[in-house]
Amino acid sequence: MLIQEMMDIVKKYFKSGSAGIYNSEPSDTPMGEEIGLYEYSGDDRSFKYCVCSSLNMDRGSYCKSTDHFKHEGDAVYSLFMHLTHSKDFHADFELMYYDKWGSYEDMYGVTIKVDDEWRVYLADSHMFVLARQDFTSAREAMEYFKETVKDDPYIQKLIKDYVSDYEAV
Amino acid sequence: MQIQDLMKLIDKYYAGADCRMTVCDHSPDPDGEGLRIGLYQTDCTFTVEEYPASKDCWYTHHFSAYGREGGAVYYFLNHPVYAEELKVHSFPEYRLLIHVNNKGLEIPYGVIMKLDGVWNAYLADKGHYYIKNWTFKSIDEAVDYFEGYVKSNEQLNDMAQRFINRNGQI
Repeated sequence: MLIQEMMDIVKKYFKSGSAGIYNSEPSDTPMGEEIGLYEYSGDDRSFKYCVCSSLNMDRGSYCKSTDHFKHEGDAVYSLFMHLTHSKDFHADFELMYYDKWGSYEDMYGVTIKVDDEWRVYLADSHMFVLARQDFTSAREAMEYFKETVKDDPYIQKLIKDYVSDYEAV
Repeated sequence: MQIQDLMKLIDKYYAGADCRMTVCDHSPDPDGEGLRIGLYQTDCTFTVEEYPASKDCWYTHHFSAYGREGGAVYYFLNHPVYAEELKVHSFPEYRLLIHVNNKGLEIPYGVIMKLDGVWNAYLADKGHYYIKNWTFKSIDEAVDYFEGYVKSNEQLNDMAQRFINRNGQI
């Protein structure tokens, strides 16, 4: 998924409460928690997609940390992972993992309902609208997708290329 | 290669009564028939939008987006289904120029094809060159020659590298 696509989803399904999600680097001294999802425009071209979390702890102490990713999709999927237990994020979604180890390295996509439409986002830049739409949960939609494409050489190559090219700092 | 160049080639060469694919430079007609593909620029990306031919397909709509215009064109030319469809409908034979990165990922950055008897090389977004050497026995020889030339020419090599750096999307 592209950052811009994620920002549209955030606008629709994330209610800013104590935390806010922005398309830029968050401030060093936030009010609550600020998360930035953005493309870093510095010289380092290899790891330019960032997820930066800036948190106001208490008594004037702050903590800020940034993950840098080579792939735009990985920055987005790591933000999804961050939002898995968020009460402020109201979209029904399932992250998809290669193998089933469930580490940062092998996330390759997300199944999500957006605008009443079941969609599968893969790698950085692919979005598929599922032909079947009668799912009751993202997990069900994801399982249908995985079963359907398990022998699809085009999709399997795309997933494999993507997870093999993972790099982050 | 730019989208408008691809469209000219499609209009000129992709022909036949049994063509299964429609290619255009805008969002394809959602109510149309057969495989429909549109390549066009959006706010910040170049998009390839596809409606599959079959009603039985598992998806109804597919988008993919690229940071550079050439990225969208080379994705189209590199797609196995589209490439096969072009091949069986008198589209000129072509070979993509491929950069293999440190993880083994193949990133296309150009294409070579023979058009009206002349070897044409497209590089990154806007580079278009005619190769004057006529002695190539095969398209692979033309690819080898041009890849070597790009590597040895500072300006072209820089153009290729910048394109590849910006265009490693999957």
